[in-house]
Amino acid sequence: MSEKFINTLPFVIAGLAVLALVFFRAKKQEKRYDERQLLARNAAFKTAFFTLAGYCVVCAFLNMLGVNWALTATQMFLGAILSIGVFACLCLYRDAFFDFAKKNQKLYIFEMMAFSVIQVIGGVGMLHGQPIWGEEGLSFVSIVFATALCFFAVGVTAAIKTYTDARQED
Amino acid sequence: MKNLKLKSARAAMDLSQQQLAEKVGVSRQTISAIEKGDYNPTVNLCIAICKALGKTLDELFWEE
Repeated sequence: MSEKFINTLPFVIAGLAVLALVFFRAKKQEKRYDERQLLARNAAFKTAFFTLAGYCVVCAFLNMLGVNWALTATQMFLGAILSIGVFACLCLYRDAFFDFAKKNQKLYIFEMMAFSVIQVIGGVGMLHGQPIWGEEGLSFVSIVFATALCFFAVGVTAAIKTYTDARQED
Repeated sequence: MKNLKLKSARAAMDLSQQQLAEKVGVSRQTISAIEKGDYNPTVNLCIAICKALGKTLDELFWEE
């Protein structure tokens, strides 16, 4: 056996172990959802996917027109944050998020709002007095603010869901 | 369309949505969605609800 193969083998085994772990964990978590929640989660996945696809099309179109509104890496992260935010908000609103149990609701809202504030403070600190919109469009720090906005949106959705749940309960 | 038969059968047994949900093994919101007509349950879930409430499928889910 070649030395390259022997060196690569542990990484392959580790990779397979991680994949197996992810698969079995996912299988285990499936049981935590009922059939309506699974459907709602799948619908949220689909919406998030099409949001990301739409975002990519818009970015590509702007690129073709020569509008450089942000670096490619920034655009990529903003798209990922947008789609994750859409997925999380939809999952929460349609009650397809297993950790959003009644006992966790208030803590969850508080955590999301706190993360949002921390991100904003961190973002302001990272700017070092520079504007967020520079010569190359949006600066890389905008990702931090987008994350803050995402946490805020999730927090607001969680608060709305908590309120509507409390009203619906008989 | 609202499923008033399910709601009245549940109320007749003096069960809350949460209690019925726990008996059937689903979330409270799922029971609420079925009662409001926002979600069409699978036959398996219908049967589980019928068993929990001591009713037949016709009595709870058949619309004339």
